[in-house]
Amino acid sequence: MAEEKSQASSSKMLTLKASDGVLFEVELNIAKEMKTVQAYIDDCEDIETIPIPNVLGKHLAIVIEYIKKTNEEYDAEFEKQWNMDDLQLLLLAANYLNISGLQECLCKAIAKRIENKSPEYVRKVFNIENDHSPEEEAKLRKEYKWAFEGVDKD
Amino acid sequence: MNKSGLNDLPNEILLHIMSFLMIQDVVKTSVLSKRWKNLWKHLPHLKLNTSEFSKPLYFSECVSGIVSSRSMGNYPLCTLDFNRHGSFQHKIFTELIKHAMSNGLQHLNIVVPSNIGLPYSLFTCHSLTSIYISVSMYDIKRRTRLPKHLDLPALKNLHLDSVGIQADHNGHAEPFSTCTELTNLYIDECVLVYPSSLPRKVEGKLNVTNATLSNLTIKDALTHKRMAPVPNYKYVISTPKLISFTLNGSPFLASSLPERLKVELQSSSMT
Repeated sequence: MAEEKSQASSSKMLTLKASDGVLFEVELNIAKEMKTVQAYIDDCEDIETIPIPNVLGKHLAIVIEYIKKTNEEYDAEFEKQWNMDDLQLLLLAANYLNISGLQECLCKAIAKRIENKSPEYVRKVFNIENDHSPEEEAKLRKEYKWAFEGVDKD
Repeated sequence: MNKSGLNDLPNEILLHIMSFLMIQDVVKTSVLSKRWKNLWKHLPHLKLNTSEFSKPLYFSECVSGIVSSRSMGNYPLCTLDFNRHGSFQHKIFTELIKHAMSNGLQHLNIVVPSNIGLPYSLFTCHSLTSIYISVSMYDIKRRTRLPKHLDLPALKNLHLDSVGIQADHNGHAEPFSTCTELTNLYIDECVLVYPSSLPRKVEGKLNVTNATLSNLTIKDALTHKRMAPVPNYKYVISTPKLISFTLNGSPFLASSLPERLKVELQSSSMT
């Protein structure tokens, strides 16, 4: 009897509902990698469908796949498939869902893509509004002159 | 058009991204917007490496610029990596070390040539828990050395590679006994530095005395690597809590070692 029970709990399925209504059925041990989901389960034991209001179905699918497949090889190739917009949204998702491995992988990937780029480029890809006054910006660029040597052309 | 992006993330995540960037890119983020202006100063780990700079001048400006920038506020620093193979202005180096020490530094990793003196503030820092010093270029003056006394009460790990160890007027050195938390000690090709008043043929002694030490590794200085013959010295080891001991070469005197100590003696190719 005890054996049956443990078998049932290890293959227990959970449903995650993305912000656009897309449903994902995942095994409990996969869902538990998302610490936010784990906390949800801890609070409401009998829950079957967990809403994930901040993450689109497209990105939740990628996150779930990552959790299933993550290893050194997979992580090394993982980030190459996604454009900058997706990387940022995936990082937002990984942060919200609290998945440390994925967050680390994505932070590294984003850093690689802004290496040696100009502030203008970085502002554009990250949608950062420049609220520095021209004088303030000029002052900073002068102060850190050594940092602006040899920056990639945009 | 409310596009979601990086700016929606908390500061900790932005700092996590910055932790993978070279220092130039880290500091450039200050120009992005008001939010980013001082954000980089909250990075707990600073990595300064000359190989990432096209000109030595830029590296010097980088180091002194970072020190004066960070000094304008209260920005704790946890880890400092400093990698400089060529010569470096002593004043800037001292300012960097002093700044790091006064901001609670815990882990220090430096690679410097042997003509750079180590500021005394490094050896009287009460927040340091681990020190790694590696000397990259041999110089006969050997200014990169450990002083006679260490005031490092929090130190757990000490790794010395080709660092000089200051000996007293008898040719003896005993720098580690005051490190009351020391667990791991790694001495690789370190040489005793004798006061100039000492006669040539003195028998030097390095006393490795420590009440808490668990792991000890000693690798001898190989004479063929040096430009001048290196005076040999004896180790006197007194470490009652030692668990592992790896020694390459020299004979040693065990004056207080646990009975079941695992000792690994590797033969060296000494002339």
